[in-house]
Amino acid sequence: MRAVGVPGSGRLARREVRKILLGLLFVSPWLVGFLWLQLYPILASLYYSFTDYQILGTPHWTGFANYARMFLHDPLFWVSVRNTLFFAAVSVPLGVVIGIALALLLNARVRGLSLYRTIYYLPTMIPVVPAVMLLAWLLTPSIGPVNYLLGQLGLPEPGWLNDPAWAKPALILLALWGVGGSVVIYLAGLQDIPATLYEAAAIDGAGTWQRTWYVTIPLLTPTILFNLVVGLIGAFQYFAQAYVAGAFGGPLNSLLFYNLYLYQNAFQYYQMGYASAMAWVLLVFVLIVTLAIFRTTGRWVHYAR
Amino acid sequence: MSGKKMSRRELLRLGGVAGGVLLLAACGSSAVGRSGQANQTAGTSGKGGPPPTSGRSGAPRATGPKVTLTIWNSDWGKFYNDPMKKLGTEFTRRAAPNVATSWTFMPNLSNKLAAAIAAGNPPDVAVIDEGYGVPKIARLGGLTSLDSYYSKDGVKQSDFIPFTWETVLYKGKPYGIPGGAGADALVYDKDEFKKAGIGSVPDTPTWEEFREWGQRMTKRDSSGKLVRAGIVPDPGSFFLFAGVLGFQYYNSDRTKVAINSPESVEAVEKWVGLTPKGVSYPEASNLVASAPNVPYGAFGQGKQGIVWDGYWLFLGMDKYWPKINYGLIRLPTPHGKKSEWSMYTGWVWDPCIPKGSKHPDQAWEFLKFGFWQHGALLADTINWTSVLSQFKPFIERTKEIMGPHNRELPYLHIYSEVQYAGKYFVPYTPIYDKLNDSLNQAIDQANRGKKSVKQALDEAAANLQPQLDSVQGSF
Repeated sequence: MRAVGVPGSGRLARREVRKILLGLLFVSPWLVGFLWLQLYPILASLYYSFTDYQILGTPHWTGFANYARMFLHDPLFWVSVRNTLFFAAVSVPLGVVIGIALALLLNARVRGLSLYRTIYYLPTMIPVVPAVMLLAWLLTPSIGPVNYLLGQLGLPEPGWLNDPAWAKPALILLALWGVGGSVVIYLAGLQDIPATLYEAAAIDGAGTWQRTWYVTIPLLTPTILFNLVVGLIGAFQYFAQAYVAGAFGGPLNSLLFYNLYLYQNAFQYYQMGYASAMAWVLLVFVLIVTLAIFRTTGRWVHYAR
Repeated sequence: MSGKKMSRRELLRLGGVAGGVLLLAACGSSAVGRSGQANQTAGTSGKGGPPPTSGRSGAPRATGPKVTLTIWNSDWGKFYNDPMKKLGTEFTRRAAPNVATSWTFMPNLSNKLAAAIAAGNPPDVAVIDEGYGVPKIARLGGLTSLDSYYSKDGVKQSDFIPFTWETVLYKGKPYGIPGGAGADALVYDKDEFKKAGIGSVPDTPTWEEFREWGQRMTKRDSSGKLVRAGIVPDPGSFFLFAGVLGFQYYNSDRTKVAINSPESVEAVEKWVGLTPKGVSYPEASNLVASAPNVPYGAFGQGKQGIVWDGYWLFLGMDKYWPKINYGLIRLPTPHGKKSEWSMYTGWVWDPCIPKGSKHPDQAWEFLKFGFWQHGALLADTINWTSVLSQFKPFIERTKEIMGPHNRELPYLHIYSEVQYAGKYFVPYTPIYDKLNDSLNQAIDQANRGKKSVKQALDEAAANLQPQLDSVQGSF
């Protein structure tokens, strides 16, 4: 005789199964999208990275040939790596420092604070293409406003995007112009720091600088960690600005960033297999860098609670 | 719903497309809009074979349900894009009332086209002007062979400017139809030339004269600041002069990269040597970059002494620089002789029908109408026809468009002659894009004094040769 209503019985099990199926049905739009449009292409690109695949043809298995070519026989690959590392190494730390500095200023209680916050955030609202075109105009050699000012001050007038030595710094300036996005996150982090800690520090005789250095910065480190990781990933994936600013990689390939070269291989040269290999190398590299940062967090990231 | 099962190969291909989308996503989110270059042109005065038709539309009137042909065209900027649409409206009006056309203009068209073909959703017609797109995509099986259409309607190789035919072939069969053909001429300011002491200007200068003019037109102000660069030998323009300089891209059977042959090294040295003495390339390049971003901005502002472009330049000149007293002459040749005109480099953009086009027959009717039967219609799009028999009506119509007092009018024959005489074109191989980019980079390095011409070309050739080896037999 079958026990009815007893936990673990067949009827309940069926109910559980039905619930699970219903749940799956409700998440199925996302699940199907994920499996078909994300997981499958990701795995397919891994397969293609071991093939000679030209988008329209049939992929031919070539083993590690794409990876060997990348590391051993393609000088432009290393040019793109160097450009990207330089950009990441300069723009991300600068973005963190300037972002924190601006957030500290915007956290002060002064009149018109909302207006200042809006002003700093506005540049992030401008789409990439017009932003780059605006930058190109501002930095136009000879007649651009920036060079005009430099000339008036008796300073050298760089060729900016037209000069291999100044092309990357020009894009770094653009990246810093859009630092408002991270400023907002830092501001949220600042306002999350308990006021009691500042009161305790003040009672202990800490001045403004000491409160900033010993209270604010340590308790802002979780936010810094977030912005650092997100910023690095963004820097390693830098593409659109370089694509607009530097036709064919800019002067002397100074703007040939990793993803731009990846794009060229995929869609200009139709070497999708090679581009897939590049994408996987980037993924692994970003993963290693991110894990390395997380391994160090025990030493420098502090949580209030 | 069809019960047809998806094969493993189809599944993989679909995955590839999705993978491509993923790669694009990895590359960033913005659909970047970099305005493409202007188009191209040139031609002679009506020589060539008999008209393909008697001049009236021979195309049958379309019957059946209404059809809209989707056409993808390289983005040349609104200035040049809008006139292209007229081809479609004329086709509908004169040949196929049931067939409308819908145009989309996009930069880097061939990049997107391959993905669209792979996804099974290509346009009906693609007008590609980048990197010999027709053989490039035909080699991968992405285009419809037009061989049977050509035979059916009697379209022949001899109907077109000779070099343009080469650009639509893959393994001897046509996969596109020659569209707008091009060749450049030198543009100079007559008054400024006189001020610089350049008296007589031959119709076809020698290379030495050309270089000398560049030197004379270079000017500094009293403080020593460069205010005009005579000639700026930018890497992207080199190919236009490659023929007259004797540059070799490959050996004769296209098995070896020859960009570092002694002839090629000498050619690039001549090109790089155009930077006026006492001026660095970055200095000249910065000066030109400081001009307004409008057609012929540096020339119009007097920052560049000599420039070059196709016959369509009258549009930009009329709109932005109506007061310049400009003249045109042919590009230089080694000795300035007519017999050397055959060394001029020609170029062309080619319409084609992608595999998977939903209306291939109507697409062919459109190609036939606009680029063969009524090639003269290209005059309204400011592109030079490739159809030899259409040169005369084309030129007549162009004169009408220009107006009787246009400054370019006295020089129109130059384009016509150059277009007809020029036989040199950049040979196709599947590594064309890569070679072109590598060559540009090598010239950039030499221009900026980072490497000698030979060193830069040797390195580029060494990187390209294995890639050419890997595609031998596939083109």
